[in-house]
Amino acid sequence: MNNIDKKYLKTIYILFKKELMGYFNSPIAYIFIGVFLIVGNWLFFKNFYIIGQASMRAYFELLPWIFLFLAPAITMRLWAEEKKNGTIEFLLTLPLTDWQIVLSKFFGGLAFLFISLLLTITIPISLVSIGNVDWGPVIGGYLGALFLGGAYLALGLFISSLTKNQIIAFILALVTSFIAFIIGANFVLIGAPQFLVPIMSFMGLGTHFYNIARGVLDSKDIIYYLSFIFVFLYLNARVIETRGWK
Amino acid sequence: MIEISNLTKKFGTNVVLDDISFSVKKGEILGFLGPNGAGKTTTMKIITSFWTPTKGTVKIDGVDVMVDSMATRKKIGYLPETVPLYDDMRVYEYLKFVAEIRGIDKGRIKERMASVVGSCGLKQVIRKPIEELSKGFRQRVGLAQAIMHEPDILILDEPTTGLDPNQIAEIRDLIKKIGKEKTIIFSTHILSEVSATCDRAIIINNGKIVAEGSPGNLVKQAGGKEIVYIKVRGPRDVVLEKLKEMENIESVEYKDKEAENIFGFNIVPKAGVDIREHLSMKVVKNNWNIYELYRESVSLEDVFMDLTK
Repeated sequence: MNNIDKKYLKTIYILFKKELMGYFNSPIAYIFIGVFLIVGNWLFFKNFYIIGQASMRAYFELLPWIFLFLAPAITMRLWAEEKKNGTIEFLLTLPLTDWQIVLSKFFGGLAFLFISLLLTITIPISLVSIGNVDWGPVIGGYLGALFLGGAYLALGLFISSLTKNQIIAFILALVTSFIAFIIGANFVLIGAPQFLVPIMSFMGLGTHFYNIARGVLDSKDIIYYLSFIFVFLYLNARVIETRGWK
Repeated sequence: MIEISNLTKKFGTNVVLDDISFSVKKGEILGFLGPNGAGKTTTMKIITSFWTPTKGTVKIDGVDVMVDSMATRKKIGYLPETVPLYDDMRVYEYLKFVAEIRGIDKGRIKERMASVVGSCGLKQVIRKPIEELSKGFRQRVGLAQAIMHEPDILILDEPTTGLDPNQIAEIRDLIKKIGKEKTIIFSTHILSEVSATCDRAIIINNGKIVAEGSPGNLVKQAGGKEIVYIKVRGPRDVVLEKLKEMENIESVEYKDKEAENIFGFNIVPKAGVDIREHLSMKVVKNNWNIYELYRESVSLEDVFMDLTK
């Protein structure tokens, strides 16, 4: 790796560090994580001992819906706050490319999501106490959660770049993520025109998540998520480049 | 050092900058004057690559900011009008972040931080959260941010706005001190600031340059007008009448009243004529008494108001 690439990555790392620290400098991050853990665990363990299966399937059924709130909460401030504080002028006049800044923010959010997921480790641990665990779907579930979370974050980050207002960023990200998630769900497809069904089924974030969460790692699903993330990061970089926000 | 040619910026149909050109030499402190909305901030945002121009070029040391923005950005330190601080950080965390992101070598970060903390007087607040800082200190932290990477050029957008008189004086001294080694453009609408700190001033209005020169020259350009003020004891209307009869006078107006029968008048003489001797004789001849007599030249304030009406 030559010097310029190293410097490029190092700058991303410095910014990434600032973004991640930014979460933990405010009490809000702890509240997010707290609520995420409580809601997830409560909804899961409520039925866990009744069903008595050593499986996390129920949890990963739930997770996309919880993420629907967590991810926009993570991304809402990322650009909106820089704009409100005027730090955006500092950031965008540094000798950095727009991509460097967008990537730092994305990976900052992803790292936060990763930490939140890491703290749910109590669930698989309690599975072990109850019986033999099939680890494939557990690992697949976590992996899928990261991909799905990444997709939500990329979308939410893009939306945050369009506005100065955190609340608007949150609500818009929630609504669009919701649509992107359910567009491929069965109950939506039933009502859709026949020719749109395969497209919608492929476009939906949810379909691909449940594929991976079953423990089936198909390159189609991974490519889908990576493209989804790339598209919204690209749009984000374009908005930043043209300073196209209100 | 900074070369701006035919710079135009439009937002939709709204022309914010209309074909302005000027240059700044190395080591110069340039004051950028103009009413709100004149285009000062826009010009600065284009120089710093925050915005792109609709037309025209900005060159830093011969390098076009549109062509090699990464190179020009490195040479510039920028303090925007809204001081860009992360409120959730402490002062030293912020400065360290600035040093790192500016790509300062690890071994030199401590030294640079100590240097900016020293020159901006931040020692006593270094451990404080930024959100607890007073406006004056926020401004200083902002300035510290701008000089961290030892840029050749400093762009300061209204660095003294919202500060109290003591803080203004401090920031101004700081700018002067830093200005010894750097090229500075700073905008303001406080005119005394320009007279006090700048080598040269540019007055801009409605996106156009309306005057340019040293503060002294700008005043001269306004026509070298002067006002003679006289305070006299005597009947007001009669005095006014008699003064108006004098030769070489453009206008006389009643200005103020100190006490019963003691009145002040502003007299504008014809250009280049010294009327003071004549004036005092006139007063004495009429058996009035002179309480005050002085001459003042038109201030930069007047030039400014005149040009940006």
